[in-house]
Amino acid sequence: MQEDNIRGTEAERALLRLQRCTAIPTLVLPLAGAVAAVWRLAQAPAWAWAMCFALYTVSMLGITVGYHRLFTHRSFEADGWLRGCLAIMGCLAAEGPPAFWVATHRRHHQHAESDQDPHSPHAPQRGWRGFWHAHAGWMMTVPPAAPLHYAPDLLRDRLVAWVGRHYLLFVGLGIVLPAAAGALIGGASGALDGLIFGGLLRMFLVQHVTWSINSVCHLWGSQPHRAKGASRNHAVLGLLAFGEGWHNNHHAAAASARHGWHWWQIDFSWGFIRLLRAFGLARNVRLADPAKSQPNRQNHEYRT
Amino acid sequence: MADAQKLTIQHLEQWFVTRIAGALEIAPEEVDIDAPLSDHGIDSLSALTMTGELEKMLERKLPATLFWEYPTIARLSKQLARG
Repeated sequence: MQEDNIRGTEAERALLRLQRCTAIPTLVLPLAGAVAAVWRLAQAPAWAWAMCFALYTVSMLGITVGYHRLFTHRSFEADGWLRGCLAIMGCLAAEGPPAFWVATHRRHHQHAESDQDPHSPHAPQRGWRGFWHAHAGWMMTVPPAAPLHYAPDLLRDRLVAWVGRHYLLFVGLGIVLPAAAGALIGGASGALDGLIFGGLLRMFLVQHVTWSINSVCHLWGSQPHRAKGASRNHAVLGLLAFGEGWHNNHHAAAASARHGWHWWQIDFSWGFIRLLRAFGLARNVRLADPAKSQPNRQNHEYRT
Repeated sequence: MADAQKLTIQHLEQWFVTRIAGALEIAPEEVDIDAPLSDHGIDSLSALTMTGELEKMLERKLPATLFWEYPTIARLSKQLARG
Protein backbone atom coordinates (compact mmCIF):
# COMPACT_ATOMS: atom_id res chain seq x y z
CA MET A 1 0.00 0.00 0.00
CA GLN A 2 1.51 3.31 -1.08
CA GLU A 3 0.08 5.17 1.92
CA ASP A 4 1.98 2.95 4.38
CA ASN A 5 5.24 4.62 3.34
CA ILE A 6 4.40 7.73 5.33
CA ARG A 7 1.91 6.43 7.93
CA GLY A 8 2.32 8.13 11.29
CA THR A 9 4.79 10.76 10.09
CA GLU A 10 4.64 14.51 10.64
CA ALA A 11 4.32 14.87 6.87
CA GLU A 12 1.19 12.71 6.78
CA ARG A 13 -0.45 14.99 9.36
CA ALA A 14 0.73 18.04 7.37
CA LEU A 15 -0.90 16.58 4.23
CA LEU A 16 -4.25 16.24 5.99
CA ARG A 17 -3.90 19.77 7.44
CA LEU A 18 -3.15 21.14 3.96
CA GLN A 19 -6.21 19.37 2.52
CA ARG A 20 -8.43 20.65 5.36
CA CYS A 21 -7.12 24.22 5.20
CA THR A 22 -7.85 24.32 1.47
CA ALA A 23 -11.18 22.50 1.66
CA ILE A 24 -12.77 24.48 4.51
CA PRO A 25 -12.80 27.92 2.81
CA THR A 26 -13.71 26.39 -0.56
CA LEU A 27 -16.67 24.73 1.21
CA VAL A 28 -17.77 27.56 3.51
CA LEU A 29 -17.44 30.55 1.15
CA PRO A 30 -19.66 29.07 -1.59
CA LEU A 31 -22.16 28.06 1.10
CA ALA A 32 -22.21 31.67 2.34
CA GLY A 33 -22.69 32.75 -1.30
CA ALA A 34 -25.67 30.39 -1.69
CA VAL A 35 -27.27 31.87 1.44
CA ALA A 36 -26.64 35.38 0.08
CA ALA A 37 -28.20 34.33 -3.24
CA VAL A 38 -31.42 33.35 -1.47
CA TRP A 39 -31.44 36.80 0.15
CA ARG A 40 -30.86 38.49 -3.26
CA LEU A 41 -33.22 36.15 -5.13
CA ALA A 42 -35.96 38.72 -5.81
CA GLN A 43 -33.60 41.56 -6.81
CA ALA A 44 -31.16 39.57 -8.96
CA PRO A 45 -31.11 40.81 -12.57
CA ALA A 46 -31.40 38.37 -15.51
CA TRP A 47 -27.73 38.84 -16.46
CA ALA A 48 -26.66 37.53 -13.04
CA TRP A 49 -28.54 34.28 -13.66
CA ALA A 50 -27.11 34.08 -17.19
CA MET A 51 -23.62 34.53 -15.74
CA CYS A 52 -24.30 31.83 -13.14
CA PHE A 53 -25.54 29.43 -15.83
CA ALA A 54 -22.65 30.17 -18.24
CA LEU A 55 -19.93 29.77 -15.61
CA TYR A 56 -21.66 26.66 -14.22
CA THR A 57 -21.35 25.17 -17.71
CA VAL A 58 -17.70 26.22 -18.07
CA SER A 59 -16.57 24.91 -14.67
CA MET A 60 -18.71 21.75 -14.84
CA LEU A 61 -17.21 20.86 -18.25
CA GLY A 62 -13.76 21.51 -16.73
CA ILE A 63 -14.54 18.85 -14.13
CA THR A 64 -16.41 16.30 -16.27
CA VAL A 65 -14.54 16.53 -19.58
CA GLY A 66 -11.19 17.81 -18.25
CA TYR A 67 -10.51 16.44 -14.75
CA HIS A 68 -12.62 13.30 -15.13
CA ARG A 69 -12.83 11.89 -18.64
CA LEU A 70 -9.52 13.27 -19.98
CA PHE A 71 -7.15 13.52 -17.00
CA THR A 72 -8.36 10.65 -14.79
CA HIS A 73 -9.44 8.09 -17.36
CA ARG A 74 -7.52 9.18 -20.49
CA SER A 75 -10.67 8.54 -22.53
CA PHE A 76 -9.37 10.77 -25.35
CA GLU A 77 -6.26 12.71 -26.33
CA ALA A 78 -5.91 16.47 -26.66
CA ASP A 79 -3.12 18.99 -27.31
CA GLY A 80 -1.28 20.66 -24.44
CA TRP A 81 -3.03 24.04 -24.78
CA LEU A 82 -6.47 22.38 -24.61
CA ARG A 83 -5.42 20.28 -21.61
CA GLY A 84 -4.30 23.53 -19.96
CA CYS A 85 -7.62 25.26 -20.72
CA LEU A 86 -9.62 22.30 -19.35
CA ALA A 87 -7.42 22.29 -16.22
CA ILE A 88 -8.12 26.00 -15.62
CA MET A 89 -11.86 25.44 -16.21
CA GLY A 90 -11.75 22.63 -13.65
CA CYS A 91 -9.93 24.80 -11.08
CA LEU A 92 -12.84 27.26 -11.27
CA ALA A 93 -15.06 24.62 -9.62
CA ALA A 94 -12.87 24.80 -6.46
CA GLU A 95 -12.68 21.03 -6.01
CA GLY A 96 -8.88 20.93 -5.80
CA PRO A 97 -5.99 21.05 -8.27
CA PRO A 98 -6.02 18.51 -11.15
CA ALA A 99 -3.39 16.07 -9.78
CA PHE A 100 -5.15 15.94 -6.38
CA TRP A 101 -8.59 15.34 -7.92
CA VAL A 102 -7.26 12.69 -10.31
CA ALA A 103 -5.28 10.85 -7.61
CA THR A 104 -8.37 10.78 -5.36
CA HIS A 105 -10.61 9.56 -8.16
CA ARG A 106 -8.24 6.86 -9.41
CA ARG A 107 -7.94 5.55 -5.86
CA HIS A 108 -11.76 5.57 -5.65
CA HIS A 109 -12.04 3.36 -8.74
CA GLN A 110 -9.27 1.04 -7.59
CA HIS A 111 -10.75 0.50 -4.12
CA ALA A 112 -14.46 1.27 -4.65
CA GLU A 113 -16.44 0.67 -1.45
CA SER A 114 -13.49 -0.75 0.51
CA ASP A 115 -11.90 1.03 3.46
CA GLN A 116 -9.24 2.28 1.03
CA ASP A 117 -11.88 4.15 -1.00
CA PRO A 118 -11.43 7.84 -0.10
CA HIS A 119 -15.17 8.52 -0.30
CA SER A 120 -17.59 5.61 -0.01
CA PRO A 121 -20.99 6.05 1.67
CA HIS A 122 -20.73 2.36 2.71
CA ALA A 123 -17.31 2.34 4.39
CA PRO A 124 -16.11 3.11 6.98
CA GLN A 125 -19.53 4.49 7.99
CA ARG A 126 -23.08 3.92 6.75
CA GLY A 127 -26.36 5.80 6.93
CA TRP A 128 -26.34 9.61 7.02
CA ARG A 129 -22.82 9.71 8.42
CA GLY A 130 -21.72 7.62 5.46
CA PHE A 131 -23.57 9.95 3.10
CA TRP A 132 -21.82 13.04 4.50
CA HIS A 133 -18.43 11.29 4.52
CA ALA A 134 -18.80 10.38 0.81
CA HIS A 135 -20.17 13.82 -0.08
CA ALA A 136 -17.62 16.18 1.53
CA GLY A 137 -16.67 14.92 5.00
CA TRP A 138 -13.84 12.76 3.64
CA MET A 139 -11.79 15.90 2.97
CA MET A 140 -11.56 16.46 6.73
CA THR A 141 -10.54 12.93 7.72
CA VAL A 142 -8.83 11.03 4.86
CA PRO A 143 -5.21 11.99 4.04
CA PRO A 144 -4.99 12.90 0.33
CA ALA A 145 -4.08 10.21 -2.21
CA ALA A 146 -0.51 10.77 -3.42
CA PRO A 147 -0.25 12.22 -6.95
CA LEU A 148 3.31 10.86 -6.99
CA HIS A 149 1.77 7.38 -6.93
CA TYR A 150 -1.64 7.83 -8.58
CA ALA A 151 -1.11 10.68 -11.04
CA PRO A 152 2.53 10.88 -12.23
CA ASP A 153 1.26 11.51 -15.78
CA LEU A 154 -0.30 14.79 -14.59
CA LEU A 155 2.88 15.88 -12.79
CA ARG A 156 4.77 15.24 -16.06
CA ASP A 157 2.26 17.36 -18.01
CA ARG A 158 4.07 20.70 -17.72
CA LEU A 159 1.17 23.07 -18.38
CA VAL A 160 -1.36 21.11 -16.27
CA ALA A 161 1.19 20.88 -13.42
CA TRP A 162 1.72 24.66 -13.66
CA VAL A 163 -2.05 25.26 -13.52
CA GLY A 164 -2.23 22.97 -10.48
CA ARG A 165 0.48 24.94 -8.65
CA HIS A 166 -1.59 28.10 -9.24
CA TYR A 167 -4.87 26.46 -8.26
CA LEU A 168 -5.89 29.04 -5.64
CA LEU A 169 -5.20 31.88 -8.07
CA PHE A 170 -7.69 30.40 -10.55
CA VAL A 171 -10.24 29.76 -7.79
CA GLY A 172 -9.87 33.44 -6.83
CA LEU A 173 -10.21 34.61 -10.44
CA GLY A 174 -13.44 32.59 -10.68
CA ILE A 175 -14.83 34.86 -7.96
CA VAL A 176 -13.13 38.19 -8.75
CA LEU A 177 -13.71 38.24 -12.53
CA PRO A 178 -17.53 37.78 -12.32
CA ALA A 179 -17.58 40.54 -9.69
CA ALA A 180 -15.53 42.83 -11.97
CA ALA A 181 -17.80 42.07 -14.93
CA GLY A 182 -20.81 42.77 -12.72
CA ALA A 183 -19.30 46.12 -11.67
CA LEU A 184 -19.03 47.11 -15.35
CA ILE A 185 -22.66 46.17 -15.91
CA GLY A 186 -24.27 47.57 -12.77
CA GLY A 187 -21.80 49.39 -10.50
CA ALA A 188 -21.58 48.39 -6.84
CA SER A 189 -24.74 46.29 -6.70
CA GLY A 190 -23.71 44.71 -10.02
CA ALA A 191 -20.35 43.75 -8.49
CA LEU A 192 -22.18 42.10 -5.59
CA ASP A 193 -24.51 40.17 -7.94
CA GLY A 194 -21.54 39.08 -10.08
CA LEU A 195 -19.70 37.93 -6.95
CA ILE A 196 -22.67 36.02 -5.57
CA PHE A 197 -24.25 34.53 -8.71
CA GLY A 198 -21.30 34.19 -11.10
CA GLY A 199 -18.82 33.36 -8.34
CA LEU A 200 -19.98 31.77 -5.12
CA LEU A 201 -23.46 30.38 -5.89
CA ARG A 202 -22.18 28.91 -9.16
CA MET A 203 -19.28 27.30 -7.24
CA PHE A 204 -21.69 25.95 -4.62
CA LEU A 205 -23.94 24.36 -7.27
CA VAL A 206 -21.08 22.76 -9.22
CA GLN A 207 -19.45 21.40 -6.06
CA HIS A 208 -22.55 19.81 -4.59
CA VAL A 209 -23.75 18.38 -7.89
CA THR A 210 -20.29 16.83 -8.49
CA TRP A 211 -20.00 15.54 -4.93
CA SER A 212 -23.49 14.03 -5.25
CA ILE A 213 -21.93 11.61 -7.74
CA ASN A 214 -19.82 10.28 -4.85
CA SER A 215 -22.70 10.23 -2.35
CA VAL A 216 -26.09 9.94 -4.12
CA CYS A 217 -24.83 7.85 -7.08
CA HIS A 218 -23.41 5.24 -4.70
CA LEU A 219 -26.69 4.98 -2.75
CA TRP A 220 -29.76 5.57 -4.89
CA GLY A 221 -30.65 4.74 -8.49
CA SER A 222 -30.65 1.82 -10.88
CA GLN A 223 -27.83 -0.69 -11.31
CA PRO A 224 -28.15 -2.22 -14.78
CA HIS A 225 -24.48 -3.29 -14.94
CA ARG A 226 -22.22 -5.28 -12.70
CA ALA A 227 -19.21 -3.30 -11.55
CA LYS A 228 -16.90 -3.14 -8.55
CA GLY A 229 -18.55 -1.04 -5.84
CA ALA A 230 -22.06 0.31 -5.37
CA SER A 231 -22.34 2.77 -8.29
CA ARG A 232 -25.80 3.64 -9.60
CA ASN A 233 -27.44 5.52 -12.46
CA HIS A 234 -29.38 8.62 -11.38
CA ALA A 235 -31.25 10.52 -14.11
CA VAL A 236 -31.45 13.88 -12.29
CA LEU A 237 -27.68 13.89 -11.72
CA GLY A 238 -27.19 12.65 -15.27
CA LEU A 239 -28.72 15.92 -16.38
CA LEU A 240 -27.23 18.29 -13.75
CA ALA A 241 -23.74 16.78 -13.76
CA PHE A 242 -23.56 16.73 -17.55
CA GLY A 243 -23.73 12.94 -17.92
CA GLU A 244 -21.75 11.92 -14.84
CA GLY A 245 -24.93 10.71 -13.11
CA TRP A 246 -24.87 7.58 -15.31
CA HIS A 247 -22.37 6.45 -12.74
CA ASN A 248 -23.07 2.72 -12.84
CA ASN A 249 -22.40 2.83 -16.60
CA HIS A 250 -19.17 4.65 -15.78
CA HIS A 251 -17.90 2.18 -13.17
CA ALA A 252 -18.71 -0.69 -15.53
CA ALA A 253 -16.70 0.92 -18.36
CA ALA A 254 -14.47 3.55 -16.72
CA ALA A 255 -12.27 4.39 -19.73
CA SER A 256 -15.22 5.26 -21.96
CA ALA A 257 -15.55 8.91 -23.04
CA ARG A 258 -19.29 8.29 -23.27
CA HIS A 259 -21.32 7.64 -20.11
CA GLY A 260 -24.92 7.92 -21.38
CA TRP A 261 -25.64 5.04 -23.74
CA HIS A 262 -29.33 5.56 -24.62
CA TRP A 263 -30.95 8.60 -26.16
CA TRP A 264 -32.70 9.27 -22.85
CA GLN A 265 -29.44 9.03 -20.89
CA ILE A 266 -28.56 12.66 -21.54
CA ASP A 267 -24.79 13.19 -21.50
CA PHE A 268 -23.76 16.80 -22.29
CA SER A 269 -20.10 16.00 -21.66
CA TRP A 270 -20.17 13.36 -24.39
CA GLY A 271 -21.81 15.94 -26.67
CA PHE A 272 -18.96 18.35 -25.91
CA ILE A 273 -16.31 15.67 -26.57
CA ARG A 274 -18.03 14.90 -29.91
CA LEU A 275 -17.86 18.60 -30.76
CA LEU A 276 -14.13 18.65 -29.91
CA ARG A 277 -13.67 15.52 -32.03
CA ALA A 278 -15.49 17.12 -34.97
CA PHE A 279 -12.94 19.96 -34.90
CA GLY A 280 -10.05 17.51 -34.57
CA LEU A 281 -9.33 18.68 -31.01
CA ALA A 282 -10.21 15.37 -29.32
CA ARG A 283 -8.43 12.38 -30.85
CA ASN A 284 -8.41 8.62 -30.24
CA VAL A 285 -11.69 8.85 -28.36
CA ARG A 286 -12.21 5.63 -26.41
CA LEU A 287 -15.69 4.12 -26.24
CA ALA A 288 -16.74 1.09 -24.22
CA ASP A 289 -20.34 -0.04 -23.90
CA PRO A 290 -20.96 -0.95 -20.24
CA ALA A 291 -23.51 -3.58 -21.37
CA LYS A 292 -20.65 -5.47 -23.03
CA SER A 293 -18.09 -4.99 -20.27
CA GLN A 294 -16.79 -7.82 -18.10
CA PRO A 295 -18.94 -8.40 -15.02
CA ASN A 296 -17.13 -7.94 -11.76
CA ARG A 297 -17.51 -9.64 -8.41
CA GLN A 298 -18.27 -7.78 -5.13
CA ASN A 299 -21.13 -5.88 -6.63
CA HIS A 300 -23.85 -8.14 -5.24
CA GLU A 301 -23.13 -7.00 -1.69
CA TYR A 302 -24.59 -3.62 -2.49
CA ARG A 303 -27.45 -4.71 -4.72
CA THR A 304 -30.86 -4.19 -3.23
CA MET B 1 21.34 9.69 16.04
CA ALA B 2 22.57 6.28 14.92
CA ASP B 3 25.22 6.20 12.18
CA ALA B 4 22.99 3.95 10.09
CA GLN B 5 20.60 6.88 9.55
CA LYS B 6 23.38 9.30 8.69
CA LEU B 7 23.48 9.36 4.91
CA THR B 8 25.96 11.17 2.74
CA ILE B 9 25.00 13.94 0.34
CA GLN B 10 25.64 11.56 -2.60
CA HIS B 11 23.34 8.90 -1.13
CA LEU B 12 20.58 11.42 -0.60
CA GLU B 13 20.93 12.94 -4.06
CA GLN B 14 20.76 9.45 -5.52
CA TRP B 15 17.66 8.65 -3.46
CA PHE B 16 15.86 11.79 -4.75
CA VAL B 17 16.84 11.15 -8.37
CA THR B 18 15.78 7.50 -8.22
CA ARG B 19 12.53 8.30 -6.40
CA ILE B 20 11.47 11.08 -8.77
CA ALA B 21 12.60 9.36 -11.98
CA GLY B 22 10.86 6.17 -10.83
CA ALA B 23 7.59 7.87 -9.92
CA LEU B 24 7.42 10.04 -13.04
CA GLU B 25 8.69 7.22 -15.26
CA ILE B 26 11.48 9.33 -16.75
CA ALA B 27 15.22 8.66 -17.20
CA PRO B 28 17.35 9.51 -14.12
CA GLU B 29 19.49 11.72 -16.38
CA GLU B 30 16.47 13.96 -16.93
CA VAL B 31 16.31 14.84 -13.22
CA ASP B 32 18.31 18.04 -12.65
CA ILE B 33 19.53 18.22 -9.04
CA ASP B 34 20.05 21.99 -9.26
CA ALA B 35 16.60 22.82 -10.72
CA PRO B 36 13.64 23.69 -8.50
CA LEU B 37 11.64 20.50 -7.93
CA SER B 38 8.54 22.27 -9.22
CA ASP B 39 10.24 22.21 -12.66
CA HIS B 40 9.82 18.44 -12.48
CA GLY B 41 6.12 18.83 -11.66
CA ILE B 42 6.57 18.15 -7.92
CA ASP B 43 3.54 19.77 -6.25
CA SER B 44 2.97 20.44 -2.56
CA LEU B 45 1.29 17.05 -2.02
CA SER B 46 4.20 15.22 -3.64
CA ALA B 47 6.73 17.27 -1.66
CA LEU B 48 5.01 16.29 1.59
CA THR B 49 4.75 12.65 0.50
CA MET B 50 8.51 12.56 -0.02
CA THR B 51 9.10 14.39 3.26
CA GLY B 52 7.14 11.60 4.99
CA GLU B 53 9.19 8.92 3.24
CA LEU B 54 12.40 10.67 4.34
CA GLU B 55 11.09 10.82 7.91
CA LYS B 56 10.67 7.05 7.89
CA MET B 57 14.00 6.44 6.16
CA LEU B 58 16.04 8.78 8.37
CA GLU B 59 14.01 7.92 11.48
CA ARG B 60 13.59 11.51 12.54
CA LYS B 61 10.95 14.21 12.31
CA LEU B 62 11.26 16.71 9.49
CA PRO B 63 9.51 20.07 9.12
CA ALA B 64 6.59 20.22 6.66
CA THR B 65 8.26 23.27 5.11
CA LEU B 66 11.45 21.34 4.18
CA PHE B 67 10.88 21.43 0.41
CA TRP B 68 9.99 25.14 0.47
CA GLU B 69 13.12 26.09 2.37
CA TYR B 70 15.37 23.87 0.23
CA PRO B 71 13.68 23.63 -3.18
CA THR B 72 16.38 21.72 -5.14
CA ILE B 73 17.69 18.17 -4.72
CA ALA B 74 21.22 19.48 -4.16
CA ARG B 75 20.15 21.85 -1.37
CA LEU B 76 17.80 19.29 0.23
CA SER B 77 20.54 16.65 0.26
CA LYS B 78 23.08 19.03 1.73
CA GLN B 79 20.68 20.06 4.48
CA LEU B 80 19.56 16.50 5.30
CA ALA B 81 23.14 15.15 5.39
CA ARG B 82 23.97 17.83 7.94
CA GLY B 83 21.50 16.02 10.23
